[in-house]
Parts: sequence; C-alpha cells; structure tokens
Amino acid sequence: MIEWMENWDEAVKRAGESSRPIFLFLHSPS
Amino acid sequence: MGAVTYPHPDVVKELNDNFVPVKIESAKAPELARRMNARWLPGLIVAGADERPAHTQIGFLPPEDFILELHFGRAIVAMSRKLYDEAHRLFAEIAARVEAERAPEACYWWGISAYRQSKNFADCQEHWARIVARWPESLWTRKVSYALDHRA
Repeated sequence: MIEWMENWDEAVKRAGESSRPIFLFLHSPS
Repeated sequence: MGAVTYPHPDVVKELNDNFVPVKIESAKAPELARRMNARWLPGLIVAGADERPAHTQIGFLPPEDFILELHFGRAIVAMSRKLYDEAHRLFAEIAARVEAERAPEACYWWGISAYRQSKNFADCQEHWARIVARWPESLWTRKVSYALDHRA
C-alpha cells in the first residue's frame, strides 16, 4: 500500500529531511 | 490510477522507496494546482523539496509507463541537485529502452546533465549524437541537429 500523505507542507518538510522528491497526485473528488 | 496503477507492487515500491507520495484533491488546493501548472486531472507531478515541479503528466498511465515517468522525474530532480551520478544512471536506463516515447528526451537531458557536470559541451554533443543515430525521425533529432551541425 502506498504511504500517502495528504498535507503539502508536511510533504515538503519530509522531502527536505529525506532528500527524496515529492510525487504529487492531484485528483478530482472521489 | 487507483484501480490499476497504484495497487501494482512495483509502483508501491517505487513510490514508497524513492518519493514522498502525497495525494490532494485539486479543488481543495487551487493555489497548489496553479503553482504545479496542473491543467487537467489526474495531475501526476514530481517536484523537489524546493517545490518546483520537475516533471508533470496528466491522465492515466499503466504501471510500466508510470514507473518510467517517475524515473524521469527523479532524474530531473537529481540533476537539479547536482547529483549527477544518480541523474545519469536514470537517464541512461530510460534511454536504453529505445522504444519508449520518453527515451530520446532522456538522452537529450542526459547530454545537458553531462555538460552541467563537466562544463564541456562536447560531452553534451556526444549524447545528442546518439539521439540522431537511434531516433532519426524524432523531434529530438531536429532539436539537436543545429548544435551538432555547428560543432566547434
């Protein structure tokens, strides 16, 4: 299962800490 | 994407091991969607920690194509961070898949990345010459032809 985050600012922070890029999935209402 | 691509074990591994995956409903983050230049959904965007989009795709992609696009995004981010060994490994991997639509573009960026590392434009031209040899009918051959025809 993909470990999705749902908060952009937290994802940016984690990317900076982990040196990994962000993958952003922008989607329509499910 | 949710039914076919995201459940695929190779996709799960690629995203969990090499990315910070984040999913956001576009209508709830219109400013983010604008900054990422997302003009259709789903938007599939690779960005660095600097929040600059490095590679953007829209629409459904089957697992194999999706993973290749993720590798391309990783390569662009690595090049931007001057992690040239990682960038070149990823660009080379994509370029080796000669039939992939992204392959000549990967070879194009491989040349740019090689130039950024060495500051020697001959290194760029070496990669660009491969584009002409492998994909003579592609747009990328037309892009590089001028630079190759006017070599010092």
